[in-house]
Amino acid sequence: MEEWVGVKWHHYITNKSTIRYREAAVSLNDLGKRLAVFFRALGGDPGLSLAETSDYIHDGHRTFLQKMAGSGVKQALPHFHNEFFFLPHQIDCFPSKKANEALYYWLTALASLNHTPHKHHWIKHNQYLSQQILNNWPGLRSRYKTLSRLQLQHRPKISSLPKKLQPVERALQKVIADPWCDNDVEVGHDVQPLPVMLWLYPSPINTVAERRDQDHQGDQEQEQKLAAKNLGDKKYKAEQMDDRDQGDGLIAFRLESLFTWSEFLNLDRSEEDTDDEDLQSVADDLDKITVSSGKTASKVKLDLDLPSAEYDDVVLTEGILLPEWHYKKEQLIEKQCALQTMALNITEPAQWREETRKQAKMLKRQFESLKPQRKWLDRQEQGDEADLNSFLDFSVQRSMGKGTTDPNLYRQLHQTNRDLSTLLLADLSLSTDAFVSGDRKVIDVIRESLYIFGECLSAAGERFSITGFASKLRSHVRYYELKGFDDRYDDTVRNRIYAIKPNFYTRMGAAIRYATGQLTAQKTGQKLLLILTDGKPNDLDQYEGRYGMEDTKHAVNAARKEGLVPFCISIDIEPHDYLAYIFGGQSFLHIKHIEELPKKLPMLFYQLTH
Amino acid sequence: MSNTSPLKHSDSLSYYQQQNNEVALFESAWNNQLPVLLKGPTGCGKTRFVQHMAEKLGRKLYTVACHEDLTASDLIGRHLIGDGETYWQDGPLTRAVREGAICYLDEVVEARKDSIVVMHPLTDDRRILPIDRTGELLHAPPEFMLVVSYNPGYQNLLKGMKPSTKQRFMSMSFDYPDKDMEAQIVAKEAGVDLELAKLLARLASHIRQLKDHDLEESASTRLLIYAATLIKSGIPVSEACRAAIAEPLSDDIEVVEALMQVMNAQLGDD
Repeated sequence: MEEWVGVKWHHYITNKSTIRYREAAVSLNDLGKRLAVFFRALGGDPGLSLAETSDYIHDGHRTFLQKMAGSGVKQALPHFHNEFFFLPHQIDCFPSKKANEALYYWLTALASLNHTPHKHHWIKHNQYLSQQILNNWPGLRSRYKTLSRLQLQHRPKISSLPKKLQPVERALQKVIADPWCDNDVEVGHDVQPLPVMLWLYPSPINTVAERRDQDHQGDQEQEQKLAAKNLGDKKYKAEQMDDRDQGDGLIAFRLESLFTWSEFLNLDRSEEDTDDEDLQSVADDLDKITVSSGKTASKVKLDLDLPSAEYDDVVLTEGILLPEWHYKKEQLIEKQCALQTMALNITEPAQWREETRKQAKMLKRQFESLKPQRKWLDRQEQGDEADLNSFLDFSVQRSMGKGTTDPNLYRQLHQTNRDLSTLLLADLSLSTDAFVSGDRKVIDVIRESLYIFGECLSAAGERFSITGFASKLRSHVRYYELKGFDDRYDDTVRNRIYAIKPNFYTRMGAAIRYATGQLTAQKTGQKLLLILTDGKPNDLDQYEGRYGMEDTKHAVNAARKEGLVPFCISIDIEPHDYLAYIFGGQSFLHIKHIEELPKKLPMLFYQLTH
Repeated sequence: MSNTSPLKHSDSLSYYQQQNNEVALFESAWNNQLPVLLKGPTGCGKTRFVQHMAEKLGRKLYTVACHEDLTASDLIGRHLIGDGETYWQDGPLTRAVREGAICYLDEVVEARKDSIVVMHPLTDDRRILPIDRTGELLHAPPEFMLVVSYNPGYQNLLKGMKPSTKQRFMSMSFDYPDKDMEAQIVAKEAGVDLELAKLLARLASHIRQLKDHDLEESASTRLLIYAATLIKSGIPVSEACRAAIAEPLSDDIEVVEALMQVMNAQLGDD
């Protein structure tokens, strides 16, 4: 009973203290894509992404009821941070859906000026931003009027506020009502008004960090005092250890010979209580999730990524010997690389994310319509219909006395095949083990891209092969054929794609040379070699920097000479110049947002070939 | 389109707003018998420019829209049968050569490469057109001019102009005009007042920022003229923009809605 009353009271008082219109709520999920397009069209930086922000503690004033309910401490405020513009994940502060939606667009419009409000002048800065937007986008004026009226209704009464907050609130309301009014009031450090829903805010991460720094100073002072007090009391002396490796010296003792556990263990324990199942709720309860920002003092380059023999993939052939281009000697050194074709160890059947499957299905449907259709072929010896044009030519020739003996006068309906073979060569080196976002890695994106690419091309009836490569020195270039030209695209292939793992390095030249051979053997007129990579060619030996680039360039040129069309799709962080150098200015594409790769890859194929 | 009288006064010509020095360039190319290649995005005024120049120079214009199935005989001509005998019919290219007209091949990359090869002897200093079927060899008169156009925006590896073909032409690059000029063009073409035209042009300049990222193609001047025409004939502004700008640019509902929001932000939704 007690609990029941407690819950009821909590609901009652929270509802009473915060104004929310749940039935009119609009969520960022529903509007996200539109807002992103809107943002970019209004001039927002296309390099930024829209994301949802969680609630942060703000310093704003709270009403008596809010204090009583313990609510209103946190609020999601729109702000810029790093590569993102953050918007609240849901807006429900106004009574109508339309108004809440309009608020999302208004905030996005403000953000399209690419300004982060100054943290000590945010009233004036927001005033300036509002003026700019209303000047540039006259169509938004009537909406702003509605929004500002609603916002003013939800502001606290000035008389109900503490004395020192009153002038700020008064100025603020004046600015909301009329962004062109004269205003000299700015918020002080000690008092903060309730956040304004119509405005952008400085990044809370910075403000929190600042606050923490201030707190930290306080802590240190206190600690010093404490330490002074406890001086001489050896038994309970605590030592504050910094989690930082000082000195880059050699490890002069064997790790297993640590004497006791009690002496000292410089370990970061903060990450260790992660046994909790429900991480999301923990994350919600936290005001802020701290990401360590300490720098690693030293880096050691080691080659530790050899999988143990029993889990390693199977070697099919001892080695196909391939040449390599030595740019200093300017000669192709024969038998320089050994390439092994490998089969993947398939441990589990493919389990694609629901989202990926949906995307694949959608794109597949689009590609199905590209299936080569039946077409009339003119000038056939036999056929279903007479070919009038060739009959005309024939009659003309004959009347001029030049008739041929075997006229081809018929047309026939033929299943035409596209005269094109495509080989996709994916870089499976260890660099693809990097994280993209959340728990997704580059290799996950590549895996899904290959899967969707395969689905689309098989739906379109294309002749294609999917392969991957990695290398460890010149003696061991691994080449994985996930789908050969003559393999059916079925579950075996899907499982293979699912099983790809990042390993080793990127000796691209050798892989391209082998792929060139595979593609040249195809009997189609056009041959497309797509190379998917996330960085420069590199390996442990000299195959780094110039040498690797020159060798790859040589391999690409050789492919071109064989009549292939090489094209590189780069998912490197930056669109570096080396791409143009290796592949030529017109033969590469850099994909900025790697998450878009699964969708873009088949589309790109379509664009390139239709 | 046809016009064989010598130089005309500018007010009776098809309207064309010069952006750079393209008129003078084209004129001197014509005077010096150089073939011309026009590059530019869709709906930026390439065809209108050629039409304008043909009228200005007082030459007849033959336009061929190129497509995949265009054969060499579609350009040069073919034999036909009538009344029990055969006769030869000239194709547009041959006719243009005979008459000393301007032959304009629109979207030339769409045509198969082997069809395009027939124009090679016309594009160098020989300026001849051999007709294999009849054994005739035509010498192009000085008034004859070959103009081709294509849209370099589509990156297609298997289709595209051979560098060797490209090098036979003098090239001019076209783009959408700047805001003020575009507003003038829209106002004049659609017959709307300059204020509305300015708003539309501003809108277009914003939508063009979305090219490559959200849209495959940017809003062309032609679409703006369509929108202005609809508005002039009494369609409400936002409906006109939806029909003439947002819907033609994307099939994605989300993108269309976002474009509508941008338009409302510029033109007002009430």
